[in-house]
Amino acid sequence: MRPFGFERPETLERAAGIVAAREDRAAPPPLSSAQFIAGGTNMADYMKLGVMRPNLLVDIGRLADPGLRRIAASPDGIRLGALVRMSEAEENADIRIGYPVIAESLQQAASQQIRNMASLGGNILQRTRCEYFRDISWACNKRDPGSGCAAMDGFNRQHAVLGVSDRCIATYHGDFAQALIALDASVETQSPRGGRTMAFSELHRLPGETPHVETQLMADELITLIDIPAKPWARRSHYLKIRDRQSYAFAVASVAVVLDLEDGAVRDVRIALGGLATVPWRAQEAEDELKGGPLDERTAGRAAEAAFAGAMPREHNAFKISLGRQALVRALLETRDMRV
Amino acid sequence: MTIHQKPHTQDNLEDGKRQFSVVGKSVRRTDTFEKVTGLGKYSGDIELPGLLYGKMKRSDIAHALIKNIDVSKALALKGVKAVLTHRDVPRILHYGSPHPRSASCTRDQYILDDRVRYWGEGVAAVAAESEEIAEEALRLIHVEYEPLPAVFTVADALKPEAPLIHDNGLDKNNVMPPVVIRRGDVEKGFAEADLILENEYVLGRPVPGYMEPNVCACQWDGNGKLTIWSSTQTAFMVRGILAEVLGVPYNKVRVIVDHMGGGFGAKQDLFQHEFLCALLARQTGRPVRMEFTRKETFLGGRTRHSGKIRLKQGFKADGTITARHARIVLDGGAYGSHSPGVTTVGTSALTSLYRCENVDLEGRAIYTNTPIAGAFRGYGVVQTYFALDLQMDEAAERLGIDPAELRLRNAVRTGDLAPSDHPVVGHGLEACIRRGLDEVDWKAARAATAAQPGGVKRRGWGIGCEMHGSSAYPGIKEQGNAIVKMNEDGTVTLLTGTAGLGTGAHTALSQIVAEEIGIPFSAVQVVTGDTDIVPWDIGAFASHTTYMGGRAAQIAAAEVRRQVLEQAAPLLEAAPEKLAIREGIIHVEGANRSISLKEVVSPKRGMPAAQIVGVGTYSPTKSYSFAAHFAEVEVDTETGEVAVLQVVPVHDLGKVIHPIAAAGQIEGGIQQGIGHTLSEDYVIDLTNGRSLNPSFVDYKMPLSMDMPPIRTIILEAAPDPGGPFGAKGVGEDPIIAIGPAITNAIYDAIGIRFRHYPITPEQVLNALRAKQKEAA
Repeated sequence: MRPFGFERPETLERAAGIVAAREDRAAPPPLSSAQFIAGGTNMADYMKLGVMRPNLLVDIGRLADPGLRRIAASPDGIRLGALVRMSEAEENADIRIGYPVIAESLQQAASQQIRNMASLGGNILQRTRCEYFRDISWACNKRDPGSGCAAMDGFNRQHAVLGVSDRCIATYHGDFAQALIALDASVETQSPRGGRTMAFSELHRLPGETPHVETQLMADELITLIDIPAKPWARRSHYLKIRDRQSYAFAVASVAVVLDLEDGAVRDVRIALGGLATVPWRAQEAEDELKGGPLDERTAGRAAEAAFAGAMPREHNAFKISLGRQALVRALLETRDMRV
Repeated sequence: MTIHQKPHTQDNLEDGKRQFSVVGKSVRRTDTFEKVTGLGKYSGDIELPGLLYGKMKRSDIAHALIKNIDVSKALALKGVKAVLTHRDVPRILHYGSPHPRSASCTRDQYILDDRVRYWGEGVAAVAAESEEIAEEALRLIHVEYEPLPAVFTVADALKPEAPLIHDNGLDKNNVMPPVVIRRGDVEKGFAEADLILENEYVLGRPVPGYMEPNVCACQWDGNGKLTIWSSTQTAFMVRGILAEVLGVPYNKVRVIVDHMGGGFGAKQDLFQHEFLCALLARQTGRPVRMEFTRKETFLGGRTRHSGKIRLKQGFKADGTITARHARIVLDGGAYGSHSPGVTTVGTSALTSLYRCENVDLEGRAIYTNTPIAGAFRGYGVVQTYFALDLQMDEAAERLGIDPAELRLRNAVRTGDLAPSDHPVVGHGLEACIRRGLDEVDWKAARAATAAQPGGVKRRGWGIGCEMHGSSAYPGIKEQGNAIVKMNEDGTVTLLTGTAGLGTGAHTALSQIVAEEIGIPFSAVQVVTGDTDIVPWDIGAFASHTTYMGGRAAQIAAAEVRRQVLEQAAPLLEAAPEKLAIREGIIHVEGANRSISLKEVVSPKRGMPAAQIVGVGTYSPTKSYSFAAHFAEVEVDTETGEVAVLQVVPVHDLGKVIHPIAAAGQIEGGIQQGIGHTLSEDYVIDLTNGRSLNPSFVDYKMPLSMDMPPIRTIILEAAPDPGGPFGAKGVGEDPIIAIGPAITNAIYDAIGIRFRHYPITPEQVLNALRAKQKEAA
């Protein structure tokens, strides 16, 4: 690992201030020479591999603000502090009962050891595990803007079929984010310019021409809170993950579903796809297909067709389209059949 | 072929009535406390004053001449102490794997050459004050290559216009010496057959994936003596070849291997970094440690041989096999390493397991510009028995015979010629199959899968069988040695040269010594892993450590026992042959007289009565262990996922020394085998030879959550006269039978015969879709 400086500020304001005071504060956050670190499961890994090369780490893992570590359930919804560990959230009774899609997405993420360390805020912002991004001997527009993309014609079995551009096909590999999309969550952030709130579905940016710009955040901006609105029907929610092994494996395809059923008809539905897209992906076309009608194998199949209508496969990942459809159908039917 | 009729002279088998006090019991292993507490020292833990860190510059081209290497910028970097290129190291052609043999390996490697033959080959080495400085120095080394045409597949390497990768192949091509075995009359056999099957089987490229990356540390003392701590299975071989290449006598090289984090066969090779670390340490006058990154264990490690097997067999209607014809082509990668040995063992394995008098077998390993294939648990037999046992299943269906029944009818039996040309001892395979059939209630299980209604998830049961030698004989003649010293308090010290890869072998050897002398397990201490102290050993490989090293320890212990009884006889006023030692007390048989061992060996003031030392030397011939694996799988026809639901492995080990350690070997082999069959494949870019998934994130080994329940059954059906108390090997066996068992179970579940590994979810989906189309 390359040498780096380390600061452990007492307050969130100070943490953001340290980064704001740096010369390259306007750089896209992944390229900033100062990086925040909390659980470190992604940052330390990528520093060892040379993917991340900050010369200053700002440790926010021990900030005193209790709100950052709180899980607060209320009739209005549930609020998750950004420093809550993945394992804490996954074991929380309010989440397990009221928002099963969150618990299921976390339980199937990474490994127990990683979940014991990783923060929810960091998890949302984890960077792709694209093998060409992770190995610095390859060309990668996301890691080194303008250097090219070795994945395009490489071994792209794991790569995205949705939301791709001709600069980047790296998959967003998180699980939790799909649950947040399906639950209409929003995030609160803090920076020296003050706080702001944005819909979670707007946090991530499609790669387009600038795959190194991954979110709407600035380098000195920190996620502080994840706000999930109350929906009585969130109990009927489910996360299905298909992967190459039963732990420590990113999704080949995953689906988060939140379903509002009335007399067998779909009153409302939210669908998010993981392992298939460059960002946490809301499958709105599939939702539209289902709204107002019955949910059965036929309508689920139609929704699945709609979800992948714009899919763009490469040499090794075409199977993800049929697999993604199957996964979506199965997730919808399993959610329908949940006893809530 | 000649028949070695060397009789087993050791009358080493018990009559079956002996009561064992230590052997056969799962005593606490000698290595567990140090491992679970982190106290155990691995080579990567070696810290020495003034330690430098070594790193290797690896090629980013698969086949090229090195026109020039400019190291001036690297040398100028602060903290860099030495840089070595091919110009600075001895140019001595050596066997990649330093066995005292030539039949198993090919002599085709230099420490550093002026030419690279695969992407990732070492071209220079750096020693620096820190790992970070060393890495930075690597970036500053500029290598000018002149690209050469390269081949990345066996098919391309066999074309007449293919570039020559080495000039030691036959007839100026990339073929290593072929292995040809012919017995009987194959044409006649096929003419007599009622059914002939011919199929091609395609083999993936799994890697051993040991936890501990290759690592060594080197230090020279003022007398020009080298000490090297290395993660190796073959300490004495490392000593020999290092001494030769460095030009020093053997007693000036000391190899230390304390704990080891696995090797699985691959760490029999001597790797570039082991030479370079010694040379960097000599040049700088400071100790140097070199450790592979995980990526380097893929690039510069050793893989299993991928390749193709074309297998043709003739069957009579009753299931008798009339002829077997096989053409095996293995991808050896850029250097020979164990290719000749793997080809020999894999090819000759096809003479047996299922009886057949007429065989025509040919195995060849081919050089390509890909990472080196070498020794890996199962050593060629994983590949050939995968083909054989899949075709047996297919034949059974075509003949209308239950697949297990077909195997029973053809199972190798006592007196049959084994692949080594030795007569097989006992009916081990038959015993394994029969026991497994009872355990899983095979008929009922298969009837249930045949009767299952259509559905998304479909279940199937399959069987796979194997036999494997507990030594490398006759490919090489091996030797294991042990020294047992009696201490004056009645405890003993066992010195053994066998490496402890993590198998529990040192515990097993200690048990054997305790049992043979008649003392408690706690009275034995084992000393290992220092070539200056322990007796010579050929290394830990070929499933022979308990079989060979254990037998040597038993011989040494018997000698100690003899000397003790000689001392005790006058004290007890009885002839030595009337005496027995139990729990450290010497009894006169049939009389009520006894004396403690301690009193005998040190009657007064802590002075030994005599220096009691036993030396055991053992050169084994061959014994075979047997196994039958039964696996149940569930195939998700919507996702293509194959879940292994349960495995029942039945192994005949002759005599089990430590049941939990033996079962651990079996479970670990099954885990590795599940990976080979379903998810593990080291992928090489076929346009440039570059590795595409050299990490544990992208190369997917099954983890604990993927493991099914395993009900291990160990039989002592066919004890071997050559092994300690009849014990045979277990290290390699379990990885061989599991692949066919799973693949055959997949067929039982969905009616699709895959003839390759790994069988990935997308391939299952594609095959299901093709089958649906065919039906429609």
